[in-house]
Amino acid sequence: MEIRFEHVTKNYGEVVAVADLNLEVQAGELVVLLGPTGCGKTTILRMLAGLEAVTSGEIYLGERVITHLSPRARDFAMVFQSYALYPHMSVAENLAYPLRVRHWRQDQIAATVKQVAARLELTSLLARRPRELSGGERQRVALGRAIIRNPNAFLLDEPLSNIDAKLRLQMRMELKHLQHSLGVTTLYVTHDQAEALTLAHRVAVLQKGVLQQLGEPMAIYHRPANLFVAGFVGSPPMNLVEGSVDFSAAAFTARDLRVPLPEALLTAARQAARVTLGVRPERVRLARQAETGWLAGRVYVCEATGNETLVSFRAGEHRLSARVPGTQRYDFEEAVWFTFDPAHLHLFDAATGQALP
Amino acid sequence: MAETQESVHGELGRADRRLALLLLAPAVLVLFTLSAYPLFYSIRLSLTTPTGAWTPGHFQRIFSDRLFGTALLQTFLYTAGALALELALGLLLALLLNRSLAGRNLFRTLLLLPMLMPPVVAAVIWRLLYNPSFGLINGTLQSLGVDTSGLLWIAGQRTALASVILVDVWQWTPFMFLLLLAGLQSLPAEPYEAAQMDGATRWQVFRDITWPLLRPTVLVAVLLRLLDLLRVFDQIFILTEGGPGFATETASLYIYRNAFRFVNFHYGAALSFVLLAITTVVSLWLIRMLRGRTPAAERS
Amino acid sequence: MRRQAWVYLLLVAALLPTLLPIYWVVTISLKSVVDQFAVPPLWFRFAATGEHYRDIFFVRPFGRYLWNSGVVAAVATLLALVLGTAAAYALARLPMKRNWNRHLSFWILSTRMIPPIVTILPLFLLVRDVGLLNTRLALIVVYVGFTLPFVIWMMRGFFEEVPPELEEAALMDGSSRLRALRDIVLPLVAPGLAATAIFCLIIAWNEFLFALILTQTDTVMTLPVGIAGRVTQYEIKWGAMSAAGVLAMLPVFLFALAAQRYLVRGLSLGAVKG
Repeated sequence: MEIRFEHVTKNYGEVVAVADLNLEVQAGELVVLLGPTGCGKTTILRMLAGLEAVTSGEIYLGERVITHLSPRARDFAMVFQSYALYPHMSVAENLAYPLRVRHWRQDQIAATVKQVAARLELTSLLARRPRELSGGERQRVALGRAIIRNPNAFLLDEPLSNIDAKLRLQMRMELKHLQHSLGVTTLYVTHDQAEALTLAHRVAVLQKGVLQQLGEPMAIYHRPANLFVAGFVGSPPMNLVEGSVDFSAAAFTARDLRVPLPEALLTAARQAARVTLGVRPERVRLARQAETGWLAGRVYVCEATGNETLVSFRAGEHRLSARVPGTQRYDFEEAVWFTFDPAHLHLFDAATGQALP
Repeated sequence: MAETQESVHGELGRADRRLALLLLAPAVLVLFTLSAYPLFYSIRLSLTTPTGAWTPGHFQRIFSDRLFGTALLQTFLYTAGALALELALGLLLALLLNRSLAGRNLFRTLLLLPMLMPPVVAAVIWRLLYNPSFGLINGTLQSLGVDTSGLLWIAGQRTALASVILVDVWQWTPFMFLLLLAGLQSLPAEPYEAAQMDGATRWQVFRDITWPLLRPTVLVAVLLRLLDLLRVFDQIFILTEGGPGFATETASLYIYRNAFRFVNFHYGAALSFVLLAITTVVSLWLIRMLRGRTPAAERS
Repeated sequence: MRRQAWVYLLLVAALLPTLLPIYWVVTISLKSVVDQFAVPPLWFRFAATGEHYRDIFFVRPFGRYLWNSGVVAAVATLLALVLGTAAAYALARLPMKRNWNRHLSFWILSTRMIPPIVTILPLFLLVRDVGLLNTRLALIVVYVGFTLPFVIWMMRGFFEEVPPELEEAALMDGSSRLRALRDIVLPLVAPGLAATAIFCLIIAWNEFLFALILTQTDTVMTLPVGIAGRVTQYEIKWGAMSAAGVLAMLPVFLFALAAQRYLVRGLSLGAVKG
């Protein structure tokens, strides 16, 4: 079923946690709420769950208004950041609880628990208590408790943040596979932009309670709507330099920096007095010898990660980063020449942060 | 499985709030009936004559009641004496046991025993011990050749109050000790380690680190003990019944006597309010000290 | 380790005066009347006799006192637990209008600060007027009022230690508030519940003033009152008194040992961690 937020606002006294949210999640879709701590993403999730009251606005499930319904009536399944497994119950009892509460028959419950356990590879752990399980195992139990009934939607609150890095990648893939095969509408909260980009059908980027941009992962990545999204999504973050446009020279200028701009960007730049230029590290090219039109810089730090090398370098007073193939290496304080790929430049209004055009 | 829609329009928490009311109501009702209502009844008692007329006479009488003044004074002496000793001894014991010792738990358990028994029983035990002729104390002293004719303990005018205080110290030092020990054990280890690195002596560590960090616990312990000391009744009743003469009469005992022996409930009620006022002032003052000193203290 | 030796020495020195009186009263309860007052005192060498214990059970009504104490303590504890735990849950978890929670909590705490003599006066008159003087029922009701603030305070602390997410998970799973309380929260605070129960039992068992004033005949008196009544008489039968005292002490020792872990929390109303 589809979920709709219409003008949803949440205030805690004077503080505005969520401001006028309008968001639609299609049936079967996985939408990620992405943003830094305090941006309101968890609050939105809890309002949807029914654990937090809505100050104003309405939430719809399909055609039904669910804004003031109890969690029980909404029939969503939630996976908490801390998993919230019932410590005094075994894994099997944890899984069975949602069904027990709905007064299912004992034999039906037992059969369904077995099914879900098999699917999530929990069969050997059914008799154990949560405290005897590892982090990954607990997470699977939490997932199992969520999928054991057919909820209207999954609500996931940073489910991967309590797992160590290596296991996290694996669980990420498992989650994606699970969601696709079950086809349940899912709302997923995280501050990790890599998770957002890989898991989501669409991403909703939030900052300080305001929705910044809603779109498919690649759209968010390649066409960020404002400075915040541009700087938040992508690792290492986009290079951002503030300056102005010299129309006579058809270039962007900042102290010690002069970058020629293509026609489209020049036109867009006329709307703003000062602009910020953005270019992703993978669109920066480096060379050891000077080439025509390239600019000079000095290496600050070079990090080789095996399949690629991240170079942080200084150009005048600016510090920029570049991503180059893993075969290249540079030395500390070495002189380099760099250029930006003109087809992948971004321009933002320095005052409002909005992308131009 | 069809679910009835529990539509709680307006605020999601409305159902919860109704539940809260339901759960709280019985307890609040009982408490009110047994605590608040009697207080109001007592106010009326203290301000009326047996025939029902309003009068400030009872309170006026208190001002000229020398005996009550003496009882109050003795209550303060009792409180101060017992509290000081219990705090000092309790702290000492707590410091002793705040280290990894073999059998620490056994020691702690054994040291606790006096405070667990009914105060009446403690009083009975000490009446036994204090008997000037055959009690354990005088008996042992006699067998060692000491002349005990002057040691009257609770039977002697001059020694009665001190003897009674001793019983309180015996029974309630474990209380202070337990609380202070728990407080000590909850102190973080880092400041101590830093002090060790800085080269502080044991006394300096106690004065500069332990004592300041322990103050909130001490205040709580003092507050709780103070409240109980000001209203002491059980032990004195059994040990001396306020005697010999008037030597160990405390406020609660005096009020009891007036109300139930002389059957003067109105005067007794007035007297009890004076005691209540004192207790309230003291506890509010201590609570303020507690809150003021340590804003981060865990106030339950 | 000389330092350790000193510590042990001091501890034993502290233990002696602590345990000696208790030991003494136990021996008195087992000594013949002649032996009780022997000078020099008989520490170990005496012929033990059970006559005093027989006395208090068969000649005197201490069996009755014991029964009364037990019944009153048990019933009062049960009632206080039910009412208090419900209130504690509400205070710990449920939303309330503005500052009610804080004010209520403070008022509940403040009832403990009132000296008993202040409330016993009007309570006596009230109980008498209702015709319930000298009944176990009156005592039970009064003891519930006595122990209620205590139960509320302790249980609230225990409830607050349960992570709220567990109840939220239960709500998401489709449970109602009450059901979540029963299925999830109560099992987790069970040890705390037990400790609180033991505390209430101890408090009710040891109580003297209210029992003294509200009971008048042997059929209803509790143990402390029974003991006190005999002691204030002219001729004190120390053997009987000691035996009764031992009887009164033992259950409390056992109870307290069982609840040791929570002793500090209970005594300090949670203000001190322990």
